[in-house]
Amino acid sequence: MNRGETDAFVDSAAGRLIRPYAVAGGRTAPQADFHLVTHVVATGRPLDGLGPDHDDILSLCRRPISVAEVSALSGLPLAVTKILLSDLLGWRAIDTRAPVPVFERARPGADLLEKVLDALYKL
Amino acid sequence: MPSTNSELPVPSRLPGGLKLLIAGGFGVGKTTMVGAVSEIAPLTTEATITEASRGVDDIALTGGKTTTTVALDFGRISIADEYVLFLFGMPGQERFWFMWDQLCIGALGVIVLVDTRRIEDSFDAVDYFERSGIPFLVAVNEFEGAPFAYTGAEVREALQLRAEVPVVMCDARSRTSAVNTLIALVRHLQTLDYSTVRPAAPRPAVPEGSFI
Repeated sequence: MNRGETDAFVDSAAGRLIRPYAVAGGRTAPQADFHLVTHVVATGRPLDGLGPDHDDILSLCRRPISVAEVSALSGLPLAVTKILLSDLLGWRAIDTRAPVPVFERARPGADLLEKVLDALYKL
Repeated sequence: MPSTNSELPVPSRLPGGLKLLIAGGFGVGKTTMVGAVSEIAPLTTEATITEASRGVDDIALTGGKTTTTVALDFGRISIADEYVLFLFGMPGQERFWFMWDQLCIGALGVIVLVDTRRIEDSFDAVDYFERSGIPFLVAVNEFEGAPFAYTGAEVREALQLRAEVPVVMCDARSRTSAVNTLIALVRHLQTLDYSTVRPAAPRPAVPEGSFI
């Protein structure tokens, strides 16, 4: 999965040999709204002719995963990751779930906080 | 921009993402604490931020914008099968503060880690969160050789904390201690009187084009 050692465009010492914006086709902003803790998962829709970066990212999405983790595990900067995920969403290759909304100056739901607390007590 | 999930049915198998932040001065133990509680080895994502340049010289050289790359360390804790709580270490250096506003959006709360040997490093972070309106607690990290040289009350006094801000002692290297600090924060969220939380103060410089 990690292309770091094998990809012709990645040098183990120097890092990526092509600029991130080239991966993203010159685009600098995703078409959809992805956050660090937005979750994504592959729909299983077959796609042909994906580039290596889209392909890598889609492979990471075989299980539910956050945008931050996709970026960290692919080694792609967050901004590029979001653009590629945005493409995959446009092709219906992934589903997404937005982060749990947390509003300023408003207590999160009591049920939510209780579940978080329960999980922490079990650690 | 519309939410990405407004057009598609949300698959029930996708968990809801939650976010907690760990702030504090450079080298205070933020990533150590993330690693102590995370169910995975801490990961790093590279965020690139474009902000308006402030100096006239900068505008001449860069067209008015500068780009900064910031490494964000994070870990995760699964909350049953329903949610995943992510812990992000906030870059401590003052030059990264313009991205704090973005990181704070949608965060449940913040742990401000304090090293009592360099308590002055925490003044600005505490001041930031006092004004931001986001709930936080202060966790005094015990370092080897500096085992709680100050009491919680002394730290509270030194940082001039409001009465409702909890102060806890911790060892960021210890899983139990780090978990207890998270528990203290969530309990604070349960009991905090949100009606007394100040609205976020307007900020002098609005960062533009953030990719966080």
